[in-house]
Amino acid sequence: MMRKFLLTLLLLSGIASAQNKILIYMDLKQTDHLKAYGIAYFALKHGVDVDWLLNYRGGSFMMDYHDEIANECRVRGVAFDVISSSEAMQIYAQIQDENSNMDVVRLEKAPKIAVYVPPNFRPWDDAVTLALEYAEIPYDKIWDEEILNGKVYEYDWLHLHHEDFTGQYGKFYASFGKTQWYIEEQMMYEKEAKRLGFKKVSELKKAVARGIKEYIASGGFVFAMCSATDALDIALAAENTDICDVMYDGDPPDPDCQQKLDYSKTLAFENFKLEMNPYRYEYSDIDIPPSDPPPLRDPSTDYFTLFEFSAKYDPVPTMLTQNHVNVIHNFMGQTTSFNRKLIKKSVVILAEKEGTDEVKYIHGNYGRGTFTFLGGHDPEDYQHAVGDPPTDLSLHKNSPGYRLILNNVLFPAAKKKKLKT
Amino acid sequence: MKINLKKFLAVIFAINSIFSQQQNEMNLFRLAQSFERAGEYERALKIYEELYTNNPTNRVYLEAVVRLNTQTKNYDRAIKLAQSWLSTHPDDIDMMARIGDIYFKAGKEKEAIESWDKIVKTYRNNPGIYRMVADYLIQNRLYDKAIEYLTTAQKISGSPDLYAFEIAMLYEFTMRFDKAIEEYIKLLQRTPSMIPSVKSRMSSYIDRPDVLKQILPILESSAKSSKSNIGILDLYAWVLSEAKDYHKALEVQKQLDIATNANGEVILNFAQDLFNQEIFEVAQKAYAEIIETYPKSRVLPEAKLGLLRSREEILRTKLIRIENKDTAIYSDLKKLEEDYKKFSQEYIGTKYEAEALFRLGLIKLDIYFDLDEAQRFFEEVERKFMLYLGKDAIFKLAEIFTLKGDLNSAREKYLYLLKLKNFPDTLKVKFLLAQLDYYEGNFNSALKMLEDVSKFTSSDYSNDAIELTLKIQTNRFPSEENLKKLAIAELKIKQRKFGEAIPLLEDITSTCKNCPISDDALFTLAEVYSTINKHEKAIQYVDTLLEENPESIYADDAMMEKGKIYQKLGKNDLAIETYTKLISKFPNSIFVNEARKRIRELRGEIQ
Repeated sequence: MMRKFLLTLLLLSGIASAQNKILIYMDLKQTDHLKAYGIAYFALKHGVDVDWLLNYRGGSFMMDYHDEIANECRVRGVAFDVISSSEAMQIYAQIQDENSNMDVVRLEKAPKIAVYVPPNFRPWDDAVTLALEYAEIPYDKIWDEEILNGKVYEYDWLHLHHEDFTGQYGKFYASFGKTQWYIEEQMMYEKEAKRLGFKKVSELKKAVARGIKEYIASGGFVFAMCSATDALDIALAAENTDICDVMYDGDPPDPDCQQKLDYSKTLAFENFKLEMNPYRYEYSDIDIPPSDPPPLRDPSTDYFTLFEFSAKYDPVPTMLTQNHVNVIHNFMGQTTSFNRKLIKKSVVILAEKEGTDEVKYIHGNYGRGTFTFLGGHDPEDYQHAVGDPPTDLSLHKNSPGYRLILNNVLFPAAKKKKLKT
Repeated sequence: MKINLKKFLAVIFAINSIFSQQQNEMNLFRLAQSFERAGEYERALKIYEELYTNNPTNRVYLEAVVRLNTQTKNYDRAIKLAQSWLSTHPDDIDMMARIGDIYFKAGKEKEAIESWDKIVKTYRNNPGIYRMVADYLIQNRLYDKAIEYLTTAQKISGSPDLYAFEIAMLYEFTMRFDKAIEEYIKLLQRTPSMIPSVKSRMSSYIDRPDVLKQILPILESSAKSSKSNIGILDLYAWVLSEAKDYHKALEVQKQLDIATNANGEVILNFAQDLFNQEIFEVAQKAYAEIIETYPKSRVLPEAKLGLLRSREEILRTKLIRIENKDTAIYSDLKKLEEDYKKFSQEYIGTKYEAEALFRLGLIKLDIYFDLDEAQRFFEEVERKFMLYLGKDAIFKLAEIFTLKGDLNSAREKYLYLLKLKNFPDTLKVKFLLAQLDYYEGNFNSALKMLEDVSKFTSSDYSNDAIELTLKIQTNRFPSEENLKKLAIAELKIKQRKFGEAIPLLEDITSTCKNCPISDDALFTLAEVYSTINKHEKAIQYVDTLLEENPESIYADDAMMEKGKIYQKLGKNDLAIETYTKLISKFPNSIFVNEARKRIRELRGEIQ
């Protein structure tokens, strides 16, 4: 009799806990916003669906209660509440109310993530890799060959490292052309180009840029930051011309290269003017303010603002802009922001520096996939320089800038699209 | 004399005309240069062409025309112009090399190489020509070919180190570090003083294990054959240290010492570097080497002291690490003490004697807890070497008096230090004086002194001062009696009289169960039992604290302690469980991060 009673009690408590939900709130009360994304990923990885409550307490996550997830939250330092099913229902009702700008997006599958990163050591770091490592979201590293041979199609999400798709090695020549790491990198790239059947690195990179564009067209999600954004579009536009000077590809550029740019091939930008001076640390006039000379600004007064979208009608831009604040500290990069005048009409602006032509964050569709570009190098290092130590994200657990990166990581989990293979 | 005015004016006009023509030409040239700088190559080229057509013998204009034609990809025109120039200036080697450069940029690598080869064949005995052509090759990043030319130049010059630095750099670019080091060796063989430049270049990659693997065998063999070359030995020793092969590095430093007639000073510098990096075993060996090989060296006392210090540090490390200390360690310790004493006798009246006596005092205090003996050594230092280590000795004496329970003498010493002019550790002394008041139950005067210390928030002691202030303020009511017991118990623990401390603490917990002070007593009891390795008892007190006072300010602290005890006992599952409870119950505790880290370590997720 006693055993029966205990068994019933156990079952009842089991049912009760199954009905409970974990609410990871993402407002100012959250202790570690960045690791919260990792918990959402952890849940998805273990087959637990996650509801992304857009605009509810800073874009919170809700999922069925499991001891493992609750423990993991504790161990990783992510604040959460355990709520009853009726409390959860109240939240859903509040979100679904027609007068509220909120919505629920069901995340069903842990996206498979690839970071496009060169195999050699580079003396600076990448904000996305830092964010993924900190949030404990697993990823694979891929490089040119994997783009060209189609391995990239195995992934749902591709992040572009600070790569120069124009083949100008980041235009670091003036500052670093004589350093060991720069020379080694150039040789390694040339070797790789030859191995893959290209005469010049710039030709290889153009092919890679086209490969990335095709990946998007087939339903892939691409997230690029800093100089990978404009460099990708420049490479696509320069398909039929040579824009590289002699120190980059061994011969001078085509004198008419500017006229030969084909803007119909680009993803986000048009009518841009190339910076042809090989000694200038700048690719084109897309970047604003220009990186060379470095802009003199007061970091404490430099901000950008996130746009607010209708969660029920524009869930994608809403997902990408989930945050606990909507005014965010700006940060510089080789490409800091995008010149509004040069952005294609089809592209959605997600964030801007108000009252200026500086657009920080954009999103667009191409074919069956999407691309999202975020200007700047490191959201928590205003002016990151080559050789600077990497940012310790444990000191920036609530970074709104890094949240923008992680929104992108989870965004593919919300959609289910079969990629062409 | 009659001046022909007409003629004079004509001459003036002609001079003026020539001058203004030259001025105009110069202006045009500058304009073209500014167009070129702005990237407006077509406009610049047009002006350069005009200037060159009007001045076909001007090489500067020719060079500009050739350069701009190349830049705008008019390669054929550039080559034609250069060849035309060469037909009248057949010895313009630079222009010949430039033709190769144009061919290369035009994508005609074969023709480019042929034209460069032709130049060096024509001037096969002139190393400078090889160098000039190699510069064009380097500009076009044809490093292998440039190496070929420069090494040929090296051979024909009969000077093995000619262009060695440049060749080494090219080998580095192509990641053939073994070849690069060979060039550096050639350079150092002839000019050992180039060592700083060589180290500076190599420092950008010396930390890479693959590089070390490539270059070490070459350096080893070179050092064997060049036993007296300071540059090579210095480089080899440096690379060995970078590779963390300190034993071998010491052998090379010994050779370097001989080669420079340094009488042990080179080895001493190396030994001291090792000591500072806490590589005591090799440091010990290095100091011993000086003593044995250079008994008359002026650095002998430093070496002897260094050797003793290294031995002491090695023993201290063993004493911390080894659970069951065998008699060998203590016999080594005895031997070390004897040697310190001998050393102090040998250098009587010097700073070396002071150092030796001070170290002996520390050994007696830290290792043996022999307070009388330690006191004797520190008093000797105070008496004989007040200006050298006197203040440190007085600090230690005050500590000893505290440990002996002679708090008045301890206070006397601290007050003496406070009176000293420009004494740097005033806050530390004030905190220690407050602590003495606390032990004696003089809480008001303790609080007054602590107030002085806690004002200086940047000081290391302000936190300690605030903590002690809070302890006094929280626990002195309803009665000071238990706080006095607690203070005495804490002093007893400091004096390692755990047996005397435990009853005092247990008395507090039994007589004043619901007083705020019982938390302090329970937690201190848990700590004491953990220190004396009675872990079960320690856990028992932690549990009592958590059960009886779940809201205690020590609750998180106690839980952390419990987790650590489980870890010590190898009960990792229980440790994880305890740490998880801590995180869950006290999410704002200062121990949360540490607990998380430990969970992850125990789960094998981080090292």
